[in-house]
Amino acid sequence: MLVSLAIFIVAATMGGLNYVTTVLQARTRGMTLMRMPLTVWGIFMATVLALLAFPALFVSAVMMLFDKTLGTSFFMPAILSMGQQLDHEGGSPILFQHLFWFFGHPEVYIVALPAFGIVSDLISTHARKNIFGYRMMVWAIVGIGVMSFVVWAHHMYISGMNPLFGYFFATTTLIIAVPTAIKVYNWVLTIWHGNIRLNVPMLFALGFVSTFTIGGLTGLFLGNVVVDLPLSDTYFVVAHFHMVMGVSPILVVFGGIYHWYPKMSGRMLNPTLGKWHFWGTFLGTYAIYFPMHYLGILGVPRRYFAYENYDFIPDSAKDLNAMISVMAIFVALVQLIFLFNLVWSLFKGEKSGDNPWEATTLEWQTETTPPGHGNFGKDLPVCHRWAYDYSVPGYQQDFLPQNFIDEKSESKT
Amino acid sequence: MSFLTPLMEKSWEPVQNPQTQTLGRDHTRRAGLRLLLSVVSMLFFLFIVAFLMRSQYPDWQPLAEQSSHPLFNKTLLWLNTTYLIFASICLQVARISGHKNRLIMAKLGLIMGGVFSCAFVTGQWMLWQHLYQQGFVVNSHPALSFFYILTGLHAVHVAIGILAWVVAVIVVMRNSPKLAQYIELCAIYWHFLLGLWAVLFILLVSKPETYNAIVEFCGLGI
Repeated sequence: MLVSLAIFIVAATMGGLNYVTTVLQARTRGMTLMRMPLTVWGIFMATVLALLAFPALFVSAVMMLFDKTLGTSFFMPAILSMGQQLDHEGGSPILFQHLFWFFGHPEVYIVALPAFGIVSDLISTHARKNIFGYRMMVWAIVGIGVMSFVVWAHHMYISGMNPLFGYFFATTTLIIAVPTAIKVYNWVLTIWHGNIRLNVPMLFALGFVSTFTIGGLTGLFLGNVVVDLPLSDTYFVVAHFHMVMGVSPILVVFGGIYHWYPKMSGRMLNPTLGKWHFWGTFLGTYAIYFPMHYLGILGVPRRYFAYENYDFIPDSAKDLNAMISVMAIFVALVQLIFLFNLVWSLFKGEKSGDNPWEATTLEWQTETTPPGHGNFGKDLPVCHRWAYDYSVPGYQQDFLPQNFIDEKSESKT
Repeated sequence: MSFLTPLMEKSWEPVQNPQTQTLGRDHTRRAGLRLLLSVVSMLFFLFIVAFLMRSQYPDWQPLAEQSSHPLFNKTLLWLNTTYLIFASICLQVARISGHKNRLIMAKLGLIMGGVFSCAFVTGQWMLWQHLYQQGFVVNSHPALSFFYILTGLHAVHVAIGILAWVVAVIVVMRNSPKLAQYIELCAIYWHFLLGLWAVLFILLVSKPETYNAIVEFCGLGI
C-alpha cells in the first residue's frame, strides 16, 4: 500500500506540474490571471498546494516503508508486541505526525479550494450577478494557500508539544479563518439582490454555503487549544470534519456535475430527480452529522466499535447513534437516484443546446456540444473581458460571454 | 514583488490595450522545469528536517566522527563528487556553445556530461557495496538509514536526469533547432542536482555539534 501511495504521489506531482504550468504559461490570448474564472483559480491554487504538500507524504511513506520492510527505526519506538520485544528502538512517532500533518492540513485545502472556486461560479451564474469582490476572492484563495502551510500542528495539540507551539498554531488557525470567512460573506453578498434561478446546481451551491458555515464555526472551537483538549478524539471532531470537508465539497461536486453535464453530454440532467437527490442528500447529511456535535460534547469517543460498560455514555446517545446509522444508509440510497439520473439523462434527457445556463465562461462558447477534440476548433477564442459580466446595464442580453466583442468600445479604440 | 502586480488588475474595468500575445513554448518548458525543481527542493528539505529532528534522539550516532564510522574515509565520496562537478561543467560548456551555435562543442559537452553522470551513479552504487561489505547495513542505526535513503533518492534523480539526457541526445543527433533549449534544460537540472548533492554531503558528514546548533537555532528540538 505504501508503494502504491508513493507511485500515486509521483504521478499526482507530474499531473500537477502540467496543470500549474498550463495555467501560468498557456492561457489563451487576452486571458489575464485576473480574468480567469474562480474555478480555475481554485484548482490552480489547490494544485500548487498539492505540489508542495505531497512531498511530505512521500517522505513519511518512504520512511515508514523502510521501517516496515527493512527494520529501520525512523518512526518506530521500542515496541512490545504479543509479549515479544521487536527489533525497533528509539524511533519517534511524533516525527511521523509532524510529517503527516504537514501534508495533511494543506490536503484539507486541496479538497476545499476547488470547491470554493466552483461554488463561486455556480452562485454567480445562477444568481445572474457578478461575483461580489472578485479580487478579494482571488486574494483569499492565495492567502488560504499560503497560510495552510503553517497550521498543521493544530491536529497535534494532545501530542505533548511545547505550549508556545500550541499558542502559535492556535493563532495561525484563527487567522486562516479570516480569508475563509471573507469568502462566505462574498458568496452571501453575491446572492443578495441577485436574480436567483433556483435550479439544481444553485440548490447544491446554497447547500454548500449552509454546511460550510456550520462546519467552519465548529472549526473555531477546535482551533483553540483549551477547547480542543476535551473534544479531541470525540464525535465533535468527526462532525466538524465531515461538515466542512466531507459534505460541503461533495455538495459542490454534485452541483458542478449538474452544471457541466450538459456541456459534457449535450443533454440536461433531469431536474425533478435532481431536486429529490439534493433534498435527500442535504437533509440526510445534516441528520447524520448535526447530532454528532451533541455526542461529541457528551464525550463519546470516535473509532470505537462498541460502547458497553462506559457509564458516562447514556442510552439516549446510543439511540442517537443508531439513528445516525439509519440516516447514513438513507443518504447512500438517495445517491442511487443520482446514478440513475446520470445514465437515464444520457439517452433521454432534454437537449441542452450550447449554453443552457446562459453562462459567460469560455467553455460554454464552444462551437459544438459536447466539444470536439481541441475544444474550440481551429481558432482559439480571444478573451475580451472577465468571467462575471452578468446583468450589465445597457445590453439586451443579461450576460456577456468572455469572448464577446463590444462593437461600441471597439469602434472607439 | 512584481509577481503580485497581475493580482492587482481590476479585470471588470474596460481595457484599452488588451494583451494579445501568448508566451512561447520554450518559456513554458523552463517554467515547468523550475516548478519541478521547487517540488524536489521541498522533498529534500523535508527529509533534511526529519534528519535533524531524528538526530536529537539518544540512539543517534554520527557518520563520520571516528575511524569506526562508515563515512570516516571520504575518498569515495569525494571521487563521486568530482564526477558530478565535471558533469555540471561539461553541460555548462554545452549550454554556452549551444547558444553560440558551436555545434561540435555542444554535442561533446552534452555527451561528456552524460558519461560523468553515469560514472557518478555507478560510483554511488560502489560506495553502497563497499559499506555493505563492511557490515554497515540500512538498519544498523538511524543516521545510516538516512544516508541510504538520501543518497539513493539523489541517485534516482540523477538517473531520471539521464533519461531526459537520452532524449536530449536524440534531439541533438537530429540537429533539431530545439537543440540549444534541450541542452539548457539539462544544464539547469544538473546544476541543481550538484547543489543538492553538496548540501546532502555536508549534512551527512557534519559534526553532531553543527546540526545540534542548527536544530537549536530553528527550534526543532524535542
